[in-house]
Formats: sequence, structure tokens, C-alpha cells
Amino acid sequence: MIRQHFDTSISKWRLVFVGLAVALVLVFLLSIALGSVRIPISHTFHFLIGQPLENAGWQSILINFRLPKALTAVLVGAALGLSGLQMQTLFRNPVAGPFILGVSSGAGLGVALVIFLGFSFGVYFGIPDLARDWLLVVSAALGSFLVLSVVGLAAIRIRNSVSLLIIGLMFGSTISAVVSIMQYFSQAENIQAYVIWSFGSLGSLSWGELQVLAPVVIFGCLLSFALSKRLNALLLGDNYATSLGLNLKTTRLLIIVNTSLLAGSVTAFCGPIAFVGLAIPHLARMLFNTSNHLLLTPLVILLGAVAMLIFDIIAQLPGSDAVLPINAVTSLLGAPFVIWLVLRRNNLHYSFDQ
Amino acid sequence: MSLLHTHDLAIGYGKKTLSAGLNLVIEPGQLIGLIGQNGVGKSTLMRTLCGFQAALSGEVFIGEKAIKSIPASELAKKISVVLTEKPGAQNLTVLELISLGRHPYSGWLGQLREADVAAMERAFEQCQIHYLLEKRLHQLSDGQLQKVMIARALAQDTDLIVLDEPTSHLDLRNKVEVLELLKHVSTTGKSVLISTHEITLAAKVCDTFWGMDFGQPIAIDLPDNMIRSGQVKQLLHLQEGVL
Repeated sequence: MIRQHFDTSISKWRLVFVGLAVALVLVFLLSIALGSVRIPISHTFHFLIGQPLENAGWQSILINFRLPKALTAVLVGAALGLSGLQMQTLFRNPVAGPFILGVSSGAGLGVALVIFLGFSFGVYFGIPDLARDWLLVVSAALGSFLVLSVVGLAAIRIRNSVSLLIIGLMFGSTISAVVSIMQYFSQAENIQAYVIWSFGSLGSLSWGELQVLAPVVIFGCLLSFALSKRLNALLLGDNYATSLGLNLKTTRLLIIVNTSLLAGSVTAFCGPIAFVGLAIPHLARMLFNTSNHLLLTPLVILLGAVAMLIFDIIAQLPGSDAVLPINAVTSLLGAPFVIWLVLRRNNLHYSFDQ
Repeated sequence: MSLLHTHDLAIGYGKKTLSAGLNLVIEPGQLIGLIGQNGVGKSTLMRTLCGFQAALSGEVFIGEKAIKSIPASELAKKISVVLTEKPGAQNLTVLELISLGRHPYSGWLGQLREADVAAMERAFEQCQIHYLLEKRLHQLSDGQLQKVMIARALAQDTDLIVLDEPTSHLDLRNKVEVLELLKHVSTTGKSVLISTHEITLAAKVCDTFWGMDFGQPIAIDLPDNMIRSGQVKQLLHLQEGVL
């Protein structure tokens, strides 16, 4: 009877994943076709399957701008969604997410330290690009790790969403203060570099930088799959998880390392991007009505990638020359979503028992 | 050979000793009722026997092995628990919850093999909860949830199941059903340890009572003897005429 049930649910889920994968491909095509210069979808499709385009200008736009940006959007959506999912399960708190818990601020502190200190010692531009990229990722991940560990220590004791929010916000403002002080004592060009970073952008990554971001995010995704069994056990609560043989300390540490790596690396390259990490896991739970992390992990990866590509298309304001900062788009759409989420908590509490 | 025994065990928190000098034995197939007032240390004793909490002194042995020396992943194959707390995620389906009972056995991604499915099937069968398979936890009544939690523990396929007040919050019919289910489980060779305040109902199914009282050694006797001799009244500090 159970076997039978598994078989029907497997075929149902296969359909869901095929559907999402098709949606991802379509949105990806659309995202590289739209922009200030309109390139017909049929041409972008030919480009993607490796045929050279007659129009050299289009070819160059696609290779140098749109393809890296679309790939970045996919990586960012997947990484932020996964880190939000795991924070929500770890802290058993529906409002947990990389931006709200101050993790993005932590990553920002790491980036600020590299930019400001690097500039003042005059080494920032002196070192090879690849080394600098890795330095950014490592320092951003360390910054997130620091914040997440401290917030994590508090959150494991505090189940209350409001308290956790306040702690996260306080962290955010403390770190902003530290960054302001650093800005105050540094030169205009450093400040400009930092401010531009803090706007958030998907389009600023070169292929070289993608070669750093992609392996980190792919590693994080694989680790997320490997952690899904542990995350499922955590759904029962700490005591039951222990009785199932789970080592809570190792599990918490692995989750915190993984989420810092995912959120930190993305934030290092694309700036702090709001609400995606918080909203995508909820969207996945609501649309597909499951708490099973073995399903939620691929769902969040696919949904996050699709959502981020759509946000990016909106940010492009297709047909116009103007481009909105990506963070403005995610906040404009994300903030109302979170308000709505909090208002319909009567449904939310089933996932978190509060 | 006994399934579990303790040697000169002392339990408690920090400097506060709740009970000391405990030499307890659990035999295979035994259904034991742990009784005593609130705050006397029933949950602490259970937590210590399960290895969740360190003993203040003395040892707990599973078979011949000291519980401290058994890795958590192995211990999960020896002892399963049903706690008073509800599982955190209430939108899990019953099937998902029970499959989590296979956590110590399933593959590294949590994938279930034939043996896992067979064990889950047995658990559903024993608890008679097939009809709940697709329900979500928040849709269940307290009685249904308790049976599902017991099924999860059964799916974990351990020699000992420890249940903290499995009959609290249940109506009389569900209390009886849960106790009868546990009796049935113990007849299959598994040992069951429950803490309970349902003295009269538990007395009908339990093989042994362990009676805890503040500052006293644990009294061990047949349930009927313990009630008839007035020991139960004594350790619950009841007035004459009750029970």
C-alpha cells in the first residue's frame, strides 16, 4: 500500500519538476532576448544551442552581457532561496532569511573590509583578478558566518519571530554603523566602489567572476541535497531529531556554514539582495504543499532561479534604456509579499508550530 | 540477558539529585509503567535511560554496553521515543512522519529501501492507521496523533520504546486504545516504558510498576500488588478512600 502510494507520488513529482524545468528554460530564453536591444527569441535559441549569429553586435551583447547576467540570476535565485529555506528550518522561524537576519549585512562588512582596507594598503588593484574575487567571497562568507553564528546562538533559544527580527535588525544597523565609520575615514573612490556594490546588481559579473561564483553555489546546492535528510529530522524538533541519532551540533554547524557560503558568496558579487531568500521557500511550500527537504531543495533551486530571472526582466524595463537596481525590484515585490505572509499566519503556523 | 539495566545510577540536573542508587532492569517484552507525582523525576529518569541526558553518576547499560559508549546513530536503532511535545512541522503528512522513523536506516539522502517500506507497512498495520496515510498532522485528533507517533517509533524498529505520558490529553476511549496498542506491541517482544498518571488503566496492561517518590528508592512491584498494599497511595501522597 505504501509502495503504491510512493509510486503515484513519484510520477506526480516528476511532472512538477519537468514543468518547472521547462519554465526555467523559457524564462531564461526570454531574459536574454529582452533588454534595451531586442533580439528575437528564435535567434537567442540558435545562439544557445551553439550556432553563431549573423549579427555580430547581437552575438557580442549575448556573450558578454546577457548570458553572464542570466546565469548570475539563476545562481543568485538558487543560492538565496536555499539559504533562506535552511535558516527557516534551522531556527524554526518563518521570518528567517539571509537579508533579515543580518547575514547580508555581515557579508557587506566583509566586502567593506576588503575594499576599504585593500584600498588603503594599495593592494586592492595590485593583486590578480581571480585572487581578488576569491578574497571577496571568502571575506563575505566569513562575515555572514560571523553574524549567522551569533544570531544563531540567540535564535536557538528564542523561538519568537519578533525577537529574532529585532536581533537581526539590530545586527544590521550595528554593522551599517561600522561600515559608515569606515566610509567616513576613507577616500571618495572607495566609497563609490562600496555604494555601487550595495545597490545590488546581477549584471556586473564577468565570466571570470562567474567562474568563482558558480563553483561555490554549485557546491552549496550539492551540500544542501546532502543536508536534506538532517533538515527533515530537524522538522520534528530537537529532541526527536536527537532520538533519531542526529548530532545537533554538527548539523547546526553544517547548515550555518552552508548558508553563509551561499548567501555570502552571492552577496559578495551582487550586493545585498532583499527578500528573495525569505520569500522563495514560502512560495515553494505554499505552491507545492510539502515540508520534505528532499523535494523542497530542488523546488527552491528551480523556483528561485525562475523568480530571479523574472525580477531581472522587470528590472530591465524591456523596450526602454533605463535599468532599475535589482534590489529595488525585489524589495518592491518582496516586501508586500512578506506583509501578506505575516497577515495570513493562520496557515503559516502549520509549518512552524508557533 | 536483560535489554537494559542500570548500575548505581543517580539522576538529576547539575547539583540537584532527583534520585540515586538506582539499579533498574528492563527485560525483553516487558511493559513497564513509571508512576509518581509531578516533578518527582519521571521525565529525567526517562531522558537519562535514553541517553539524552548524562547521568550524575553510575551507568546505564544496553545489553552489555554502557550507553555512553554507543554512538548516537547506533543508539537510534536501540531506543525510540514518543515525547509529550508535538512535532515541530505540523504540515508533514502521516506517511512523511512515519518515514522519518526510518532515519537511522535510510540512505544518505533519506531514500527508503524495501526493508524500510516493509517496516513502515508493519507499523501502519500494528497501529491500524492506514486510513490516515495522506492526512497532515494538523488535521489529526489528539488520539490519532498519538497512534501516529507510536507508529513512527515502531517504524524505527527498536528493542525499547519509551513514551512520556502517552495517554495525557486523550479521552477515555483513546486512552484505552493506546494502552492496548502498547500492550500488543510488548507481546511482540519489544519492551515498552511509559510514564503515566492513569494508575488504574495502566495497572490492567503493565507487567510492572516503577513507583517514584521524593527522596525514596524506586519501588518495583506488580501493579496489583502495589495498589493493594497501599504503596501507590503512599507514593502519590493520597488520602484514605481514594483508589
